[in-house]
Amino acid sequence: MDTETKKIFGKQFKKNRYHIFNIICPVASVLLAFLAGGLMLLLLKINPLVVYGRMIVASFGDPYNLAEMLVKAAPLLLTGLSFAFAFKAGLFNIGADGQFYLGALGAVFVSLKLGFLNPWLLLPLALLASIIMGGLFGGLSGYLKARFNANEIITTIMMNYVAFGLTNYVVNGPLKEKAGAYPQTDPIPAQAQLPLLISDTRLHWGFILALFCAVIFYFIITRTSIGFQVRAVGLNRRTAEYAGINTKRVLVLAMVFSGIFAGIAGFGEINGVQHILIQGFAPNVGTIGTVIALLANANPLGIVIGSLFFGFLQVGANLISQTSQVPQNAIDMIQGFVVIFVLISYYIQYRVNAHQKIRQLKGAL
Amino acid sequence: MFVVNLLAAGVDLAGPLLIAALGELYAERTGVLNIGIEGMMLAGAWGGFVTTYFTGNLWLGLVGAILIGALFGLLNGLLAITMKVNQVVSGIAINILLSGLTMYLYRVIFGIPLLPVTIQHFSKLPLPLLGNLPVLGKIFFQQNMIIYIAFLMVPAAYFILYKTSFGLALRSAGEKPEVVDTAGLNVTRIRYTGMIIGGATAGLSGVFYSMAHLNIFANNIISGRGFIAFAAVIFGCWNPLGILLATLIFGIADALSTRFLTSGIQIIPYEFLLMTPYIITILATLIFSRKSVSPASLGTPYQKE
Amino acid sequence: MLDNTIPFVEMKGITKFFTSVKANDNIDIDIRHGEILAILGENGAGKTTLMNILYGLYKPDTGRIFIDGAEVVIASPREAIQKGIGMVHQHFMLIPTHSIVENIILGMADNQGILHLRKVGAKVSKMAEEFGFQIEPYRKVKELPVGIQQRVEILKAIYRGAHLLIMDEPTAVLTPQETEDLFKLLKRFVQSGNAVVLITHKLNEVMGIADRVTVLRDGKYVRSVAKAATTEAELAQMMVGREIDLHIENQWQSGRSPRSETAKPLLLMEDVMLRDKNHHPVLDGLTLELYKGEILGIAGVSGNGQEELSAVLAGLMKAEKGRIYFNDQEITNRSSHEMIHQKISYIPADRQNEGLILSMSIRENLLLKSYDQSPFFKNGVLNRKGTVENANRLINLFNIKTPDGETLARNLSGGHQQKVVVARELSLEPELIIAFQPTRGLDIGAINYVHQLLLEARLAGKAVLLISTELSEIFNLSDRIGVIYRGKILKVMDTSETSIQEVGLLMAGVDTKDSL
Repeated sequence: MDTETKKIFGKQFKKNRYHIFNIICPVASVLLAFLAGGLMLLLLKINPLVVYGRMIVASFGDPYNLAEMLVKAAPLLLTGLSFAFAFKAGLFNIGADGQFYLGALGAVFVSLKLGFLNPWLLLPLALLASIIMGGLFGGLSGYLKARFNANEIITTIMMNYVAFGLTNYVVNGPLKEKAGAYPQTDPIPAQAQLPLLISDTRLHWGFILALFCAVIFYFIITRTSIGFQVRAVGLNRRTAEYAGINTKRVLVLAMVFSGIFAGIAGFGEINGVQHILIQGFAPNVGTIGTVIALLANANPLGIVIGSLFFGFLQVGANLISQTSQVPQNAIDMIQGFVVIFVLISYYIQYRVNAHQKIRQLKGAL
Repeated sequence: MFVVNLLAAGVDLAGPLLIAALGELYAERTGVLNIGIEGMMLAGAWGGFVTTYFTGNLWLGLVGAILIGALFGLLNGLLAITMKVNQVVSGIAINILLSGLTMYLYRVIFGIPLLPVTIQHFSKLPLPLLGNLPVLGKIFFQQNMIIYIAFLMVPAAYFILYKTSFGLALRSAGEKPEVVDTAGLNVTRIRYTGMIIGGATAGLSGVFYSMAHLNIFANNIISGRGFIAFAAVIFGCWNPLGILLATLIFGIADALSTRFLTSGIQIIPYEFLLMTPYIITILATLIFSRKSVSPASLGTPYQKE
Repeated sequence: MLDNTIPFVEMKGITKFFTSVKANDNIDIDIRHGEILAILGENGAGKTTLMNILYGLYKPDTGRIFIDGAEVVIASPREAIQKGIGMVHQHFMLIPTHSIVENIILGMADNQGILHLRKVGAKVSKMAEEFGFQIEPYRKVKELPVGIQQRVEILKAIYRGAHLLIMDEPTAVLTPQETEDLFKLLKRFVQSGNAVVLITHKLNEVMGIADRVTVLRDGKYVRSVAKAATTEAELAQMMVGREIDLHIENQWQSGRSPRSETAKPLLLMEDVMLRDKNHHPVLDGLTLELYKGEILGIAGVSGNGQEELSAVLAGLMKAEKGRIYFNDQEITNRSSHEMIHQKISYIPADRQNEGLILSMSIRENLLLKSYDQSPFFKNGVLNRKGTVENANRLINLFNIKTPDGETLARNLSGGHQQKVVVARELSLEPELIIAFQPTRGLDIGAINYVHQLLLEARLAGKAVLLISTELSEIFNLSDRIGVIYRGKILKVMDTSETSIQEVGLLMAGVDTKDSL
């Protein structure tokens, strides 16, 4: 690099200093969220330090609980990827919850109806069913966007409730358990269950599948033509059109992929953990995944870390509510604080970075 | 008689949706989405319940619900307007926070009761004369107080939005904020006002579920009705009369599905009836997205040059 | 008679910087009671900036403003309105979904609380009648033709007490009949001692309505003259007659091989027609021919169909009528993807929003049009090494100043951003290059470089369609010059056989050879 170029870009290299600040900010906001949660715990006359300490010791001190964190993280990771993929194309897919449920529906349907098959055939078929259901459901919103310019935020929110309705119908009607007592299906046969990764835990191969999906996500986005087009459309739809990219096709495809990731989460939960489809199971898996993706700025590695963190929160909440006075929903509250504080920290970061830029510009003059 | 009862139940269920949707209308007319409406309704249900429990006064409960709704409307404004967080994201964040916070604080106040804690509630208040009308009396005028408030809010919203300078400023901010700015008005303040009104009415609407329909508080007490109200604004084409019609249709569909569930007579599965508001709204977005009936600047933060 | 010794408004020594550009450079003007003053100049001459300062939208870096002899500070449009200044922008400040009355009273202090729509409606109707036209005050603005919308803007300003009305290019959107009506209205407005400032680049308008003319050029004041004391030709001279920067003087002559009589055009556009969403024709029977190895310059005042011309050729807009042939093959209304595959390259006017994706790296921006092409993608999978080599090659070839190909396009200077666009377009080995304002906002060095590249492309036998509002650019590069006016090519001339004056007049719709 010649000296002139160095002079122009020297300021950028110096910017690394602010990277530290950009890491401190989200960490500080998570700590603040726990502080706020701690103050709330004081209302119950509970020492928050003791609770948090026990949460950490119990979650990380015991292999079963450690495995449980990964179990909880798997669907969050996938729904996070689901939101992130559409986000890369500049779309807001708020429908991960619905796509997740339909994926679960597809998986449970195949697992029950074709339960007689060999697992080597049955599991891929169940996975395929969840992929098709999630992909179609997501793709429908994409199609409505491309064809009618219907706002995907509205259609995906609405379609969540359509998906809940469909699921409720199925577990109360066509696939209702033979006993007929509860709104749930029969358990799926043993050959439809994903094998465990570690025995005596609930950790199943679905977690590996989720990690694999994160790698695929990264590969598609950074290393393929379709990923390149998705990013181009997301970053600047106008330029993408000028470059000859068929933006409508890209929008539909992005929503199909987005729905597929959420659908696979449904497969993992049915065939890996629940082994049965119960009305209203795993609420908010899509919403929390969405939030994780947003906080991670749609970066797959960030989503992996975020889903592990939220998995830790959920397992920790279960543990302390079993062994102390702390109610389970305290953790929902802390999740809420985390989200709000991180959003605020992003604003602060933005302001600080903008301020630095102005100072640089003034310095240059 | 079946039809009259059904319609009466439909009106009953439409009332709270109407209140929340009209509030959302104010917010969206200024150009901001309040996706946090679901959480704010829950907060209202909680706030009203708790206030009434401690004061023994239903009307103070109402005030408490409105105040807590407005407070979170303000928070959403802080995130979405001042900090320019994406409006969908800020709304989701508020929903997550409130679903945890309300249940936690319920636990803090009431512990783990064996039976659900109850309060007195708004009972049916048949209006004199009007309540005795054949058919119409039963459908419209033998309801509780909140339903009457809801229906009064329709002409009020119409008047405020279309006949006052305040309403004109609200509507203008949602269409072309730069015009509002050059006319010397403050876009940010107008949008905050819209968001706070949206929060306050969502709170008021929540009261219906914990203090009229039921007299208890539980975490699934709203369960998606905020999004139905949100949908009613779209289906109602962002105008008070349209929203009245939309919420009536949604309320009757809700009432019908309950009838199907309890009577066992099913023409179509009741789950499908429950889906109708959402499907209708999706269809509505397809039709309206071409005609652009939504406020032109809805969802776009205003950036002064 | 009004006392005309003290001008209504005086602006003295106004200077305004935009980042690095001097939009206004020490400008003095005065506006007198009872007159229509035309501010005349090319695009970018600083006319609108100057008036935005008077209207309180911009703060001047230096300079003072006087109203009726007293110095004032105008910090916002609200303050300008209070001082009796109204402005009608090119893009109307009206809310389409509101009625006329609602638009007029928005934010008015005397209409707080309950709106008196009927009362104001009657008042507005009466005002309109005083100016000799009728309006329906409760109609929604979006239902009105553009001409009426403009009158609503004028009424809005007058209702708010404007005695000085600034009109920014008011006739750009009007039909000739509407223009005539507008002028009548403005003349009536100034009869009672009010004043009008007409921002324009159209000579016929100036001659038709103005009392006086102030000419600006390149952000500087040129001269003020009474209309009666000047001619169209003299004004044209003042407006465009800068010393042409002949840094690549007569390059167009060198290396030019005479076209054989039998040569077929590479690009042929026949009678192409396109309407905007208001059904106004923006391309109105446009016809042109372009041959290999030549640069055809399209001169014209912006907004005369240049954007649509380039968009139709780039496959971004569909023509309603007419045919386009390329290499003897019809390509009318093909998609942008197909146009790129026809080897038509396009350098768009707005590099940041149309040419580049600022949040992508240089390497990826260079790849934008090759997203489905080997060797960069094989079976849909990226060949990263190939793209890095491609980026390094182009960065060296086009001398793009950057540490490496992974630097974001956002972090480059304007000139180097444009080099990335040009590098990508030329690397596609095009047969035709559409260059739309290829040097807008660049510094001299970058301008020269881009010009050099276009000339080299021409020497390599490629055809270049250069669409520009910069006359110096057109004259320095083009073999032939066509003038676009109201969606038509008025005339195509050999560069050696025309003059800046002739082209300038043609840009204003005046064909001197015809009228002489």
